[in-house]
Amino acid sequence: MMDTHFTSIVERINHTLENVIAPEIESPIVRGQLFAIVEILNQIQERFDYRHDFMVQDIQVGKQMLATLIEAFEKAGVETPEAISSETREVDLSGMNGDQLREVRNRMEAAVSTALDLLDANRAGIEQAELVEKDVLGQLGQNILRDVMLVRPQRFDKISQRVQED
Amino acid sequence: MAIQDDPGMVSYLAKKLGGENLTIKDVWQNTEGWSMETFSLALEYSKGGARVEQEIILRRQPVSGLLEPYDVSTEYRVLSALQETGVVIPEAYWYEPDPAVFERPFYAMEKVEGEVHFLTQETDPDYRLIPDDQERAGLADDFIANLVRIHACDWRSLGLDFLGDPGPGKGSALGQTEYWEAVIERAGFRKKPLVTLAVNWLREHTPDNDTVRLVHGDYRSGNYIYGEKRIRAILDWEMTHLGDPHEDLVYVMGSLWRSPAPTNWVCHLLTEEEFLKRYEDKAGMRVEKRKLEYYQILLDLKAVGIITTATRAFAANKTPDLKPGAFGTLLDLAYAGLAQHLDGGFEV
Repeated sequence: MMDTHFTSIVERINHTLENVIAPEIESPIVRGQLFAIVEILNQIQERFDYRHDFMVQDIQVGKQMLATLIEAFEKAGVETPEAISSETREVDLSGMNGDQLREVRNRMEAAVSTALDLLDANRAGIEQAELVEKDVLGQLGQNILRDVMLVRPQRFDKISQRVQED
Repeated sequence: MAIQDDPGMVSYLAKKLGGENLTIKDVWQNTEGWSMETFSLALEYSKGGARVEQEIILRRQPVSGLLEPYDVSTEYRVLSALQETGVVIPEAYWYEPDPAVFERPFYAMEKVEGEVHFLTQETDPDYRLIPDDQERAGLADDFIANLVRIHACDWRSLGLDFLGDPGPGKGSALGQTEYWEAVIERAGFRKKPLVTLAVNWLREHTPDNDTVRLVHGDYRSGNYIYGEKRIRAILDWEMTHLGDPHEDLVYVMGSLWRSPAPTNWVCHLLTEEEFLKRYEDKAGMRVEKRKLEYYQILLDLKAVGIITTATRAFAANKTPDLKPGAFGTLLDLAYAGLAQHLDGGFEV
């Protein structure tokens, strides 16, 4: 969900509001309110953007993780593929919009994952490979904590609760 | 067309039930479930000269959702196989693979009368999902007894080997790791560093299991019907497979279905220590702490798998149901749980 594009999320919500919920509403006043919600969401969807500061943090942490992994590869004499090392090059993030930052972040995450798989494949030859993995996990930790702090209490009971019939 | 007004469905049900002059008096779709679609049907028909009133359940495969790809026949076959094992379950009536009957494959089963606990996030230390201590004790007895019966059943003689025997040794844990890794891969989340760390850790620390058991896979409060202080039916067999019973034990002890502190009762029923002790006594099996730690990380990965599948189902726009979208918002919580347990798993 958190990786789904905002416009897709709004389109999905509006489709259900219009085609599933609105036909079931008998009150014209309530139906009108519902279409007001659809209209507002429709008009603001292109104005939503990913948090630039979060994306930049993710990219910076990704670079740190790659540096840790590449250092371990070098010590063990394991060659680092270009697809991994290329992600450590400096990129000017300052002029990027949310979508562009997200693309860089996703590419960075994929490179870190590939590097972790490479470490796993060469585990026997890498000194204290598990210590390197624990280090990488520790670097991830701050951003995981940041994201979990954004989660609001769920109200799933409102979604599933059966309305008493009769 | 509504089911009640569908002459094809009316004649289909009459034929299946061996009745005549069948009418569908009422139909309602259950709202509690987030995966399979469950319909309750109140029927009336004539049979052998008598008028019969009967309620049945139809469990239909959804278009898309949390546990896709779906195959509702698996749950039907498991329920059918377990009828005589002492595990309390609804009677499974028949499986219908033809989508022409009710849009998608479904199976029919007995409607078991009773209630289902509805889990909410409570923080009040005095909160009791089951306020009556005597009732809680009765449900705890049945909860453990049924879990032990599931794990003790002779799945080979019951014909449940179609679920896939992982074999002795590392097969149980490795099979589940590979299964959930593939699920996450399909959802497009395999190339996340945390997922990669977890998958590689699970492969590196795979425990042995030489006694393959039937594992329910979703055994918890909210997934059984109760009435008059006893459990009447264990539900939701969608994730049932063959493997290590420690997997179910960890699932039972999950934080989402514990009572709030200070009790922290597992499944709102009893303390963790009491649960494990009573399970050990009844099952005649020693619970291994290291296996519990391993399966905790595997279950965290499973949570990531289910949530990312929901995310993909939502984004793919296969169904107007928004519940997978809401479920997808749990991903950051699942990541946090996985990271916490994984950190404890590194032996450095």
